[in-house]
Amino acid sequence: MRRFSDGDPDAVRHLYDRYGRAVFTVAHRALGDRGLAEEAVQQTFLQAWRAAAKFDPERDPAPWLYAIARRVAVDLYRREKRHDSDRGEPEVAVLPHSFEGAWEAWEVRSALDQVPDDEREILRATHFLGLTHEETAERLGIPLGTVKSRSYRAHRRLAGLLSHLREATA
Amino acid sequence: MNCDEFRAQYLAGENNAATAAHLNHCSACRSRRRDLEAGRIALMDPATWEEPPPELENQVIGLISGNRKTARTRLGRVERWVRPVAAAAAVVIAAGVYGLVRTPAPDWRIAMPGTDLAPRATSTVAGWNTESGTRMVVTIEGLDAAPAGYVYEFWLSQGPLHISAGTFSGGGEIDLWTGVARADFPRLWVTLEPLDDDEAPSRQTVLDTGA
Repeated sequence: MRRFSDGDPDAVRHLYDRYGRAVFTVAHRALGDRGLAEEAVQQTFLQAWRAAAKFDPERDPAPWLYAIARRVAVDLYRREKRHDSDRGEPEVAVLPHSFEGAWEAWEVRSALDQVPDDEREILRATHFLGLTHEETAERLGIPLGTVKSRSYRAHRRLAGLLSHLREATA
Repeated sequence: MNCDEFRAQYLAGENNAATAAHLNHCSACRSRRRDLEAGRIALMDPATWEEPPPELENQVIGLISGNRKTARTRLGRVERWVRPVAAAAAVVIAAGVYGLVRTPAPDWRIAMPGTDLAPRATSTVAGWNTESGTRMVVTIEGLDAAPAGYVYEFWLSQGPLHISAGTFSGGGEIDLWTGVARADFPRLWVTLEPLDDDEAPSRQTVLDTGA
């Protein structure tokens, strides 16, 4: 974190590689727009860099970075709503449903980034594309047994990575 | 079926007699059920699978690198100017450095006193108005570090509308940025916030300019 605070490109790259996708997921989910999500990622890391000198390096950076990302998304949402207003008057501070469950989205995306590529491919096919194991096997061109074993390993690994989800949101 | 097998199957959405039986007698897995359901819902969310563009990483690195160079350039100019003066008067130097680092002078400055929750705390906010928003430097003294699980949050408000300019963990000099214009938001204040999903300001106000 000290190297990140100094602006060391390798440290910035390291933090981005670990959390960049999770920041993007939270922002994209909340804002529903890729361009705004990209802006949110840039602002999040810039704000984190500015605040890093005061961050306790002994702490887990994930909740800290998540809090910054969410606040940035809130600000961008309100800025866009304000620009959309015909009279230029600000909206009442009510956020849309898309901001709910942001922490769970962060955690799941962070966990997915720790799953091997071949297992993540199975998770994407079954959960995102809604394919059965048979359809996944056909789509990926691998035996059905391989799909089933990878699916089990992937879900077992993911369940372990999400073990602290509830205590973190409690 | 053991707990690992149950959790993998439950997360996969495979609810059958075996998982039901395990859930019936395993309190540990019953306590994890809500996590697994939340995880399963998030896995089906298209946003979870959206990939940022590859060039975004270099844009972030470039953004931070650019800001770092700007800061160093300012400090470098200050050092070159300060060195010959240093022999003359150290006190003057300190004031000169402060003034040059913050060049140009802030467009506005306002005191933000401590509330009953932080009676020893004092602060000032210096602001620079730009076309894309407002940069603020908050100088805080006498404010305890935020306890674990909490952060301080800086707000700009106009009536019921509250805009966060960022979070920090304690006193000192804090550099903040917001995309809104200061003129639209007369009240500046700081709250102590738990790290949770609640986007509204807490009731624990520690510094406040008043409306």
